[in-house]
Amino acid sequence: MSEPAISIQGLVKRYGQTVAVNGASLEISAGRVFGLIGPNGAGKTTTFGVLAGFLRRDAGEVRILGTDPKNIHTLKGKLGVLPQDALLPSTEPVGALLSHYGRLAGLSGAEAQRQAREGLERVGLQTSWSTAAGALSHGMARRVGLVQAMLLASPEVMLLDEPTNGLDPKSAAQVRAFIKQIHADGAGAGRTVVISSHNLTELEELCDSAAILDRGRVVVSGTMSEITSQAEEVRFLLGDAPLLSAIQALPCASAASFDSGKNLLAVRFAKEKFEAEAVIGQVLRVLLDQNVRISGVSKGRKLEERLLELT
Amino acid sequence: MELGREILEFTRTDLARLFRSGKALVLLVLYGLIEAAGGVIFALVAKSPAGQLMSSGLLAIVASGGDKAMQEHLQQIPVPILFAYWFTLFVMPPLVLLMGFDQISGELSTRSVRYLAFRSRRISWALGKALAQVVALFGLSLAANLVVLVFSLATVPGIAFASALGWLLELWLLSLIYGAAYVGLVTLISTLFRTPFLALAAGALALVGLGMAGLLARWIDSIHFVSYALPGSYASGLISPELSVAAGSAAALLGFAVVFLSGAVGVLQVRDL
Repeated sequence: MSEPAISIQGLVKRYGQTVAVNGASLEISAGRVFGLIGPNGAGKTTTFGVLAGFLRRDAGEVRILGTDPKNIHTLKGKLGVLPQDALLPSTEPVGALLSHYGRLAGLSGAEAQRQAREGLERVGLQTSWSTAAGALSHGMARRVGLVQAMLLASPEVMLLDEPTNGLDPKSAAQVRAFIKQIHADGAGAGRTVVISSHNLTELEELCDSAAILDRGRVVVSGTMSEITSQAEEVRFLLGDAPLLSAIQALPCASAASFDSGKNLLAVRFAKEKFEAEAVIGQVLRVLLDQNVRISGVSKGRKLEERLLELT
Repeated sequence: MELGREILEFTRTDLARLFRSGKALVLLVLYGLIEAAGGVIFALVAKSPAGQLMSSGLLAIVASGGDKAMQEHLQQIPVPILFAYWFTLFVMPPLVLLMGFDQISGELSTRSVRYLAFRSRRISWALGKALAQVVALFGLSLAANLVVLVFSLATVPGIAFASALGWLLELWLLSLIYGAAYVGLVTLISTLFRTPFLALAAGALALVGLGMAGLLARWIDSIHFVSYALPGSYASGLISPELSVAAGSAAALLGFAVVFLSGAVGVLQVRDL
C-alpha cells in the first residue's frame, strides 16, 4: 500500500491553557482534493498551520510526503501553501515578490521570473507585475496568493486555507475552476489539494473526500460520498405524509423514516446490493401510487446537515 | 551551500526592501549626513584654538579607560576620522534598533512570514535579515567616512592620503565589529515580539539598561565585573595599540553577535509564526 500524501496521528496543539487540537488523526491519499471542515474553533486552521509548518505541535506525529513539517523546507518546490490571514509584504512589487518566492522554491532567477509572469497571466494579473503588493485589492492579493501557492515550481501537495474568502461570486467561481484545473494538471491521480473552508457548498463542489473536525478532534473522515451517506441513503422532500409501511416493505429499503416536521422521507439501503438511482426509482413509484406530492429528491444528506449532526 | 544561497537570497531581497522603505532611507541618510557634517566641522576647525579644544575632548572620550599609550596611539589618527569613528560607535546602537526592530516582528505581525515558512529554513530567514542590516549600515557608514576623508585631505594640512585612508578603513572595520553585536541583539529582540511597537520599546529599554549598567559598573568597584557582560565595554579596547587587547575586544564583540543571533535562531525554531 502506498504511503499517504499526508498523515496526522494524535496531533495535539495548545495555546497556553487552551487545547486547539486534541488528538486529531487522519490520512489523506495522494491525488485527493480533501476538505477540512468544522465550526469555528474546531481546530481546522490550527491543523492547517501545523501541516504548513507555521505552528509547532505539542504532541503527535505529522508527515507530508513522508517529511516532518519541522523540516518542511526540505519539501521546497513540492509544497504550495495559501495561508488564510497572511498579508503580502506591502512595499514589494508583485513580480519581484513572486520571483523571490520562486527562487526560494529552488528555481533559477530566470525560471522564477518566467513562472511568475505565466502565473500572473493565468489569474489575469499580468499588468500588476510592478504594482506594490500593498496596493492590490483583497481579491487581487488572493489571486497573487494562489499563484505563489499553486503555480511556482509545480507543487505535488497544496494546502489552501479559505481560498475564496472575501472574493465576489464571479472571482470565487474562477478560483474554484482554477483549483480543479490545477488538481487535474498533476501527474497520475492529480495533485493532492487540502482545502480548509467554511464554505460547505464550495467544498462539496471541489472535494472528493473530507474530515469534519469538532473541538480539536476528527469526528468523521472519508470520501464525500461516505460522509454524506450518498451511497446508502436517499431523501425525498414531500408535500404530504406517505404510508411508510409500503416503503419499508420494498426489498431495496433496509430502513425508512419520515420526519413530519421537515416533511422529509429518508430511505436507507445496502450499498453493496443496490445503487442509489435504482432505490430512488422504486421509492418514487410507491410515492406516486400513494398520490404523495414530491418537492425534491437527493442522494444522501447535505454536508451542512452532516456538520450540524456531528458537531 | 543551500543554506548560504538561502541566506543571500533573503539578504538581497531585504536590502531592496530596506531601501524602498522611506523610514530606513531617512535614517541612513540622516546618520550619514550628521557623521559627514561632524567630520567636516572637525576638519575645518582643526587648527583653530576651538578645534584644538574639541580634539582634546574627543581624545579623552574615545580613550576613556585607556592609558597613556592609548592616548599617543589615538593622536596619530586625523581628528575628523577619529570623530567619524566615535560618532559611528555612539549612534550605532539606536540606529540599528530603529532600522531593525520591525525586521522580524513586522513580518510576524502581518504573518507575511507564512509565505516563506514552507520554502526556507527559519535560520536563513533570520541570518539573511541580519546580514542585510549589516550590509546596509556599513555601506552607508563607509560612504559617510569617505566624505569625511575627502574633506580632511582638502582642509587639514599635513594629512597623508595613504595613512588617512588606512586609518579610516581600519576604524570602519572595527565599527563593523562593534555594530554586529547590536545587530545580533536587535534581531533577537525582534524575534521575541509579534508587535513591532513592543519590539521597539523592549529594544529601547535594553539599550538604556545596557548603558546604565555600563555607567554603574564603571562607578561602583564591587560590580565592575558586570562590565564584561556589556558590549559597550569593549568599544575602547577595539582601538587599543596592544594587539592582544584589540583582538580580545573584537572577539568578545563577535561573541556577543554570535550569542544574540543564536538566541534569535533558537527562538524562531520553536515559536509559532
